[in-house]
Amino acid sequence: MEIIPFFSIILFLSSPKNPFLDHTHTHHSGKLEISFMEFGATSRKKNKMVNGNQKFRTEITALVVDDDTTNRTIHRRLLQNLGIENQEVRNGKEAIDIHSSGRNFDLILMDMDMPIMNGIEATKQLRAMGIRSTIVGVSTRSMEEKVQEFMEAGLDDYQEKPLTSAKLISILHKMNHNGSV
Amino acid sequence: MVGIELRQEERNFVGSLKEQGILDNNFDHVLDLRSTDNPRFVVEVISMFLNDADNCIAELNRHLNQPVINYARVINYAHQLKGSSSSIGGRQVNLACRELRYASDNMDRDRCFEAFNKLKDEYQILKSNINMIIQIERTIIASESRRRRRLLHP
Repeated sequence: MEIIPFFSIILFLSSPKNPFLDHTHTHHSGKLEISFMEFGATSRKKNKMVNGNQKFRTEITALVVDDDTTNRTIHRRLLQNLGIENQEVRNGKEAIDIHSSGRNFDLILMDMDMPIMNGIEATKQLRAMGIRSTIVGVSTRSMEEKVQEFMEAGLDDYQEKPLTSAKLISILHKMNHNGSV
Repeated sequence: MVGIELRQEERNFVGSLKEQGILDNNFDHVLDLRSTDNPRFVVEVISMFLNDADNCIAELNRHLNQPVINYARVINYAHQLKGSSSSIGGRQVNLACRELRYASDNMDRDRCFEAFNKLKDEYQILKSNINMIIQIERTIIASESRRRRRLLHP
């Protein structure tokens, strides 16, 4: 009987509650460790056994764009718990300004409704500036039309508030799957 | 140990608030973000929320009592409070904000007042209860600080 080879990707989290906490990870270095573990892949045809444990690191930086203090604090804490270095701004215009100053981020968590410049407009302008960061819309809005408009502005993903560790992890999974490591 | 008993008291209290529909599971996510390197996180977030929410309520009161209501402003503040109350797990406040938002979208003055009165009531209930959680958290922090000092200086 042929053994089908398979690969597992295990995302190690920096959460203190994670029983699989990778002891080499540091909270404040902004590094997220991803381990690939190959489990006894055997091919009868090729007659070879491959066992290995390859590790590589990726440094992810994030920008939180939200006009609400509570939301910014919670989102930053979520990012911090995953060891992701992060900054915050209070509206879309400040998001544009920080990029215009030369700063760049791997991940942008963009609120939709903000004063001065909303998330839809800010996303359009960032894309027009050539910003290729992963931009994830985060909002309490659930109306399909508004979400669609937000996506069409240039989002990579949309998550309904409140953001949780699980939602953030799924965002990071997609980022890694799209080859940002 | 005092700290463990206080944590259990907090869990029981949060549980009862969830049963009453005052809080939902989103509050648990806030508690989960507490850590040894930032034990004051829950106190800080709740305090932040209350400060902003007090301001929202005051602004809503001001705008709704104008001779001509600026519904765009009312919508803005209702949406803001809806978002932050959702993040903190303030279920009834979130629902009341949604109602106010609908009433404002329809520019229905009477319905706006009714929704705002409901919002004020729900906010006062939430505020008094999460202030109690702040007190429990502060007591836990003080207790754990004393315990660490005793360990360092037996």
